[in-house]
Amino acid sequence: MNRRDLILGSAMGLAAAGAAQAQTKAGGVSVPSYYGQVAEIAFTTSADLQAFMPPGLTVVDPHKAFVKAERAKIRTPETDKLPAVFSHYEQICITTMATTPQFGVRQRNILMFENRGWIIPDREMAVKRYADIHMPNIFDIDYAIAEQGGLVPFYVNVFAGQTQLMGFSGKLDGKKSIEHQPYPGFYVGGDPGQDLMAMDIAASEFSRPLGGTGTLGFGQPVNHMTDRRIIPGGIAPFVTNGPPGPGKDWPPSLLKDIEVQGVLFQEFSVTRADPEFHLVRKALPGDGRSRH
Amino acid sequence: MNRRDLILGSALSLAAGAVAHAQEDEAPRPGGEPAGGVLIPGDRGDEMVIMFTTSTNLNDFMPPGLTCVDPHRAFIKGQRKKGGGEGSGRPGLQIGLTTIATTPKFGPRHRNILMWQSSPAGIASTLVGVKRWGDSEMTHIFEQDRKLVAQGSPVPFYLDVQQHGHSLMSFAGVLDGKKRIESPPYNGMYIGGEPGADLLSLTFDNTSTGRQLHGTGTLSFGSIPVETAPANPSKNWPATLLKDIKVEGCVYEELTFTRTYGSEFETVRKALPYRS
Repeated sequence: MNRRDLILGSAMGLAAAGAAQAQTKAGGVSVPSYYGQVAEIAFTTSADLQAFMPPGLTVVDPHKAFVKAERAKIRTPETDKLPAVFSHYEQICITTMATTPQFGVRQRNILMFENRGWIIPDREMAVKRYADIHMPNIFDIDYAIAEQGGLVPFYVNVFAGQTQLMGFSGKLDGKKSIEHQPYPGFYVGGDPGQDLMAMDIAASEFSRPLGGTGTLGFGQPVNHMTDRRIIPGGIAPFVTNGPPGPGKDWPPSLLKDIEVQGVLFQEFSVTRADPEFHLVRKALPGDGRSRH
Repeated sequence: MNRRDLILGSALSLAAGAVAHAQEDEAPRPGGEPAGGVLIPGDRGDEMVIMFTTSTNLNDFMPPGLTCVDPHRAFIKGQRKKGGGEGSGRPGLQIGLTTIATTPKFGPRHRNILMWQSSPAGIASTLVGVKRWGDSEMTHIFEQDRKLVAQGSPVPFYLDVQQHGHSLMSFAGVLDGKKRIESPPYNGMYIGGEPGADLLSLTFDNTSTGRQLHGTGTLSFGSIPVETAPANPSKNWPATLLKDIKVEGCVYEELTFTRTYGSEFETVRKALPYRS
């Protein structure tokens, strides 16, 4: 696995990045790289999201972001042979739209929570953190309930130990409150020591929209070791009380004054491109810890 | 919560049994009108049914008064359910090792001879015996999977239960759309009947299954070192007592059912003395 694979793994949560292009099965059926369900929770914040961007990347709206709460499976010849624990994952992305003159508007994950250890392939990529993620499944009967005028409870709770890092509580009522977020590709990397890359997607499909609304809040991990330095100029990797930045250590509670615009639950599938990465700019000096 | 609630909780994996009635959504609409009496099932979710035969005599796991319909045929029910309420806890998996049993009065119904719960909250009463904690993972099925199966591309399916590094159950298969088995009727259950517990018949209301995807695979059982008891209707026997497993087929489906308190239990026989 090379560095670009690691970047990809960080951005998209793929453990076996090198093998995740679309499979073509016997009979010519194309299997997407990964697919599942996603709840997009659009919100505004008083925080300046530009402060979380690496040099060279500009947010489209510095006060508008969205959560992508995903439950998905990876489909590759390798993962098809593995138990669900090694092919399924739940992933919470705090995302905003960002742009560069060369590659235009794309998604930028500013922070991600993952419920699988294996999906965090490179701690240097910084934005991924392990967490316990709770969110309900949505079944066919839930669509029927919403169509009949009923309300389907929907929540997304993210925990680190006993601390809640994110909580969304809402209802899916089938009423469209927001538009689906554009999915043109990503900007990944760009932290000190990393190239900033634009990532293409070969194909994506979103279907079965189910709208709703709710309330969203972010928390901050609590620990008593925040001054425990492990190397000169560095700090323990579990410390998350840093300032806004494109990489490590900032708590989600920096996102203040959250106002939810709506939630959109959908089924989705994504097929990765080949080639999929384009260089935006070369890495700037640093190792991702130099801010401290 | 009385004893019957505890038994029920064990049989159905409902931590807060009182929320499992059908829920009539009275939440106001934006215009202030009532929601119009939308009936929400007490439980809804999905399940994987894996039908298999075994050389083991399943009557050895029955309490007195209950008889297996076929003492060498059983099935796994891997269920991922949510209740009708507002719960915000982690969705849990319940794995039932089940056979069809019967009594002269109530006829064939499910009998869970062993259950694994991924959520401790699903284990309402240790007195009932058949429930055990197990770290479980079951493949999710999404709309894309249905498309792939319809196009002739089988979808892998795994169901694994383990405890402290010991595999207790492992299923590996595919959903290919080829029908090999019928999903067993989900009309009701026999619960309890161990020494000290009444044997009860439980009837479900408004059960429905649908969106079936058929397949097949291989199934095996394991154990943890402290499970050493012989076959019996309650505790401590290892799943490895089920020998010579042959999978007949599997079916993945979505499931809804509603329980009706008060009238859902009927006594088959009173409790027999408890043995220490």
